[in-house]
Amino acid sequence: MVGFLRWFGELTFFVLNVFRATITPPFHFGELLRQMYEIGVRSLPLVVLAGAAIGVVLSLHSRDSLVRFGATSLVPVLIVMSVIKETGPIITALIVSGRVGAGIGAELGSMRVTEQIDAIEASAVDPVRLLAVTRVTACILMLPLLTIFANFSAIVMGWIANTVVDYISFTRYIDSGFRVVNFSDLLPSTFRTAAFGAIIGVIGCFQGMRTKGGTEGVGRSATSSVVLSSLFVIIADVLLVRIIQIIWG
Amino acid sequence: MDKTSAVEQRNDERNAVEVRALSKSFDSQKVLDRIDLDVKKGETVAVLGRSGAGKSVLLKLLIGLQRADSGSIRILGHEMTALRTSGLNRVRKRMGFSFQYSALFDSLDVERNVAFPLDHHTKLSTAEKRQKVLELLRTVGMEGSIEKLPAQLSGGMRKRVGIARALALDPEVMLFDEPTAGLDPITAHGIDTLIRRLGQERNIASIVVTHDLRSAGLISDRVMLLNEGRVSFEGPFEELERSSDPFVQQFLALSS
Repeated sequence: MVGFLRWFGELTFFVLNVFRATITPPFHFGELLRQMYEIGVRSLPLVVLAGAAIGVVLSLHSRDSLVRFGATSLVPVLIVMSVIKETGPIITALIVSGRVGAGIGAELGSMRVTEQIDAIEASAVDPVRLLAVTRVTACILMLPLLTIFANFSAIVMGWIANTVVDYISFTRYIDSGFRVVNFSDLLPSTFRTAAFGAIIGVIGCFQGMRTKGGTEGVGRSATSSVVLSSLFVIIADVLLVRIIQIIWG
Repeated sequence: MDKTSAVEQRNDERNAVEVRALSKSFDSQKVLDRIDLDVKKGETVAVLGRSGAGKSVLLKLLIGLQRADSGSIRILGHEMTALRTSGLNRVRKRMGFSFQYSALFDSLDVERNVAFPLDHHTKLSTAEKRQKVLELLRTVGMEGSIEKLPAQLSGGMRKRVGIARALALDPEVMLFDEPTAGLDPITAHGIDTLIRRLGQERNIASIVVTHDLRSAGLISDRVMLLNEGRVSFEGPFEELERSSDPFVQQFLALSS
């Protein structure tokens, strides 16, 4: 319990430190762009692939269920609503948590045990600004964009899977799917992934920068980054969905 | 000259490094116990001692990578123990730190490693930075490796690149952590000669943590021997060899 409280206290202090460094100069724009590429562009194929698989599975399951009620015309709306409101954001966050969370934890952990972070500090450069702020900001900016791509991929693949069984034109599928969707469904759901991005970035950087114990410690940091960021993403998802429901109805 | 600059200059003219009653513990283990140390500009002090004697901790305390439990550290007239991060960074720009395992950034090539402090603290153009990097690499005899990644370098080459990076901002105080550890005698001698030359040519105050007695004898004006967190001996290397202290005798006997 004492260990958890200490960890949580250090995490809170780290978050405050990152926040302070984010809003005050100097800013490392070059490193931010590099991280946006690493975190965003390099995660894109995996996220699109996961979105496609989800689209296909959703189409197969929803058709199978709705056939029993003679309501197959609702397949498009079920896929679109499900993807936009929950499946797309959470799948994107968990995929990025696995890929990027582990990457950040391992990279910064390796830099910690090989004294590279000490070398940055000894060079009079703030490692929190250079390493953490850039990665956390890149995660916050990239998660909503990746979610849009995942949603698009899921919806398109949902249409393809649906069309294989029962032809429906893409225009009609989209019209039908988005008939009951409005901005209050789309925007809060997509942009809540910015909070997931903050969680993934902060946990990855925090676990990485406090690594101890050589290569074994690096492995532990990578694993704990994925486990903790996934856990916190799921908890945050529950809270944010409820908050969104309260605010937007 | 304003008042602050005048005070800084007056302090700089005294010792570049002044350590008083410095103590540091990890959990219940006292690593450094009321250490005193003075280093003048142009002077090189070698810090000797057994593994775990607190030598590397001393260097990390001096540059503010770790916080002291008690005592005073004045670097170039600034009380490091009282400074916050921004103040520490102002002093760190006037210091260089050569790490035991070089601590080169493994994703950057030699040029970008050496240019790292220049990228962050100067407004030099790309061409000027490249010129400065080449000059620094020439100083450490590594001008032929500018495009190599750290993984492509030997241990001695990495040490040299690490030293070049530490010299990038023309430091007045240099801290070397085990600069010759794990190197063959010829490479180690080359590094020793380089450290000696830097101290003399650039008037740098240097503190060199080392296990290597031969190296300490070659590069230092004075040596300090640590034992169980305390100073067992401080003075010229020749006096160390004549000391009758039992620990000094044992250390010398087992080191040679």
